[in-house]
Amino acid sequence: MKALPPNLMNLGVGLGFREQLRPMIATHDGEIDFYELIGDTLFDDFTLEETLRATAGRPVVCHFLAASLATAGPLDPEYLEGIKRVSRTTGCLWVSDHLAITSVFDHDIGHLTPPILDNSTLNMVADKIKRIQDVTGRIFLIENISYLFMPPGAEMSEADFLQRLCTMADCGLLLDLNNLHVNASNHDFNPYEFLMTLPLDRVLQVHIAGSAWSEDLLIDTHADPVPASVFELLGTVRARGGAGAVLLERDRNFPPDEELISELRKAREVWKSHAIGEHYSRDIDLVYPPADN
Amino acid sequence: MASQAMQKALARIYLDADLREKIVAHPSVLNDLRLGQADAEQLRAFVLANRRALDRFAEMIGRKRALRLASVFPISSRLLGADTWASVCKTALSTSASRTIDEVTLCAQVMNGLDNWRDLPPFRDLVTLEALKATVARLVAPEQQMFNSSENWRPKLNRSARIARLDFSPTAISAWASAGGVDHLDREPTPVLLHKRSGTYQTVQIATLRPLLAEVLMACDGHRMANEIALDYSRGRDELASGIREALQGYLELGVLSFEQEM
Ligand SMILES: [Fe+2]
Repeated sequence: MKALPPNLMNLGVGLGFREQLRPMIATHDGEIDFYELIGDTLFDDFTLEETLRATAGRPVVCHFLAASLATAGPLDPEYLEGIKRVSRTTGCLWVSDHLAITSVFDHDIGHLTPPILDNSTLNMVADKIKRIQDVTGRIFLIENISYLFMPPGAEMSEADFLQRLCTMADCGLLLDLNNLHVNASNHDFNPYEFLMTLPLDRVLQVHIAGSAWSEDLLIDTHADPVPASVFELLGTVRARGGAGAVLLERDRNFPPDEELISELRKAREVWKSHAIGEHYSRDIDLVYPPADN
Repeated sequence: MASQAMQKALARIYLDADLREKIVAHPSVLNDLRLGQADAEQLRAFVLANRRALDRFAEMIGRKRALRLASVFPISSRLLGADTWASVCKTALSTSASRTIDEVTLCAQVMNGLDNWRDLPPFRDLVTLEALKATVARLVAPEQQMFNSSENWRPKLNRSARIARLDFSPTAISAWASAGGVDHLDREPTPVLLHKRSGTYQTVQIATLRPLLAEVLMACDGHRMANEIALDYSRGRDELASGIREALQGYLELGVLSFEQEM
């Protein structure tokens, strides 16, 4: 993987920027090391400027929702242009999106759905990631999704797919620990075995979030507190050299500020106590090789 | 191999409850999906093994769409109450499930009046009012960047845009509402443009259109050249023709139109 400046390997604990969190951010910015911006909301200049104003002074990373990397066929050129523009205007440290399908030709599914885990999909997604890295001049992180079913035709496991993808595309991983926890629970597998298959040194960022039971299924709601099992997974990934950046995702059902602050603090505690090697420093020197135009 | 046909079939299965039922009851429907024999069998086995999970997933998508629709019509959805709103969304979803679905389509159906909405005329007006609020000053064309061959392109209404027709003029409704909504309100058919920027998860933008612009936009079918359309609708008036050409470029910038360029 393209060498990252050491400071990027230890970005700290951040928060997913949401409009509703603006007041909390204004008051408690000191608790937040970096922000993750939803790239899809930044295609219009007004929102982009407002968002950058609210998150000024901290590093940002850009997260996209709808590249639909696993859809057969090329990347939507307009969307790719959007990723390029947003990543350069925000000066983000890296960009990410999901290993998923959100639209197929005329069908806008409107939700992340799992890909067919076969070799042709693997090659295709790797090519698309390389293209995004070329165009943006930034490292791309691929995120694992939560799923209720896996489509037919798989030729390898999800963990194998991710591991091979990282090598082929020379990209990083955004490991969503809540998605892993939810999938392990719904599909009855051991999340730690899953972790051991992954190249954890490529996990530059993790997502932590909450889930809730709906009948017999655990759903990743992003609207509930982060469960203890997710913090335990965080400790393991961190202790094995991953999770330089920990990001708390909260999309709905926003609690009082103190609750979010205490989740950020809990994450920071685990993040610090399980760190190996690099020392934690709040004085992040933001140097990133500028992309060629 | 993850073929396009297989991905299309899966997307339809995720969105269309009727299709899932049919695949279970009448496997012959699989013939319509243009899959090979082996893929078709695999797909049926998948539906059979995951019926509940697929239903749950469809519910999740439905809820998510309802939330997005509610964000376009915040007052209306609250006034209607959760149950009625949910049933409106459910109807909208089920009527569009087998075709392309996106928020623009859903909004178009809402605006054009689904059957069960027709029983609620005041609500219809309210929706219109909200549409107006969401609209004001939205459709200001960005600084005109001259399209390099401004006449030789064939504008086409994007699939992220639709034109809907309201029974009342939003302006009249606004005046009517600020006067307390006591007087009689005359019907005044008004076209509106529903539009979602391509590739975004943002909610639909709604703008009122002058009837001429609505006609011009509807003529953008990817076959006729911009200049041809402009001349047609300006009926010989040069100034109007150049206004129409500029408007088309503005809509292109906004992503309402795409184009087939003349080589
Ligand atoms: Fe996530």
